[in-house]
Amino acid sequence: MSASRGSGRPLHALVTATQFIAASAALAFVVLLFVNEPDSGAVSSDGSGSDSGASAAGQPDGATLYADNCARCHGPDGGGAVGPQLSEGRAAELFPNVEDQIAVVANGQGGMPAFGGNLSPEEIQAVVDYTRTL
Amino acid sequence: MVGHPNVAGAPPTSARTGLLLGFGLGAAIAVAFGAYARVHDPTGESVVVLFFSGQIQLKAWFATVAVALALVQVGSALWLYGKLGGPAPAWLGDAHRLAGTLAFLFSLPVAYHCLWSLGYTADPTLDRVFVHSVAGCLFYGAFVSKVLVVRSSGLPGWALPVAGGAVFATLVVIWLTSSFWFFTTFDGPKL
Repeated sequence: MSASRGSGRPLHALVTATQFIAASAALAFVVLLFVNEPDSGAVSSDGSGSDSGASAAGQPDGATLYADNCARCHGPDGGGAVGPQLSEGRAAELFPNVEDQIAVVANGQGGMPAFGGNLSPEEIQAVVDYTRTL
Repeated sequence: MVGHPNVAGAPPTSARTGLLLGFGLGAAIAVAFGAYARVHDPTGESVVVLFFSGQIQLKAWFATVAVALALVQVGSALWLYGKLGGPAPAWLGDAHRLAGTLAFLFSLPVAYHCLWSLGYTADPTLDRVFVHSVAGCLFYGAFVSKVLVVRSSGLPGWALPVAGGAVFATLVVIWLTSSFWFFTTFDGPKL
């Protein structure tokens, strides 16, 4: 064991340990992709959301659609986060005309992404209606 | 040299096999990721948030850390191969591997949420998301190719720079179409 090799051993050991962790994480990554079940219904693979956000009567469930598509930016209760607050009547204040809100959800505006390619018109209507009840 | 099988610059058979294996397996991995993301029903759920304010914030920052570590990888690779001038210190090889491994680790939670929760967007009219989906699949294919190429011997000199460059390029595209977009579109780089 030379001095030069000895000085590099801690780093080499760290690399080895990190690579072992990375290999284990990669294995877990692949396994979880197939075995991890969602807590609620999944969104269909074409992004239509027809499996998620459908009520028992087959009508789009605005609350579920909101949780799946909007809550990450507007907050789980509509209190606002990255996106503006929608709760406590703010949605109706921002969009006195509901059609304007539907257009923004469908087509996007500023930092708001467009959901017209992911949600059906009925789902957009349902989620917009839901935000106006928060 | 006339009549030598490599006279036209073609790699020997073993090298060709190595190239085919490295880049072929990488292509298969990329296709497999795309197929999974396309077939799997996206769950739309968060996975892990840690101390971030939301899933998207965690992903934006993890991807940014991965890109920063990838820059370290590129810089250390250039130094290792004498492109920066001056001899590389003995520890640089380990530092290079550590940066790459950590970048890979930081990418995993991001990719997991993309694949498991969001899925693959094949609609070319959604430019950013479509490019991001394609680059995300290509990244892990390029990563596998790079790992195989760097551990192979006798390959042409261009193989490693191409493989490493593909990993870096796809990661940068991923970052530009996600983290950069998020930071510049919303409220800036907040946790």
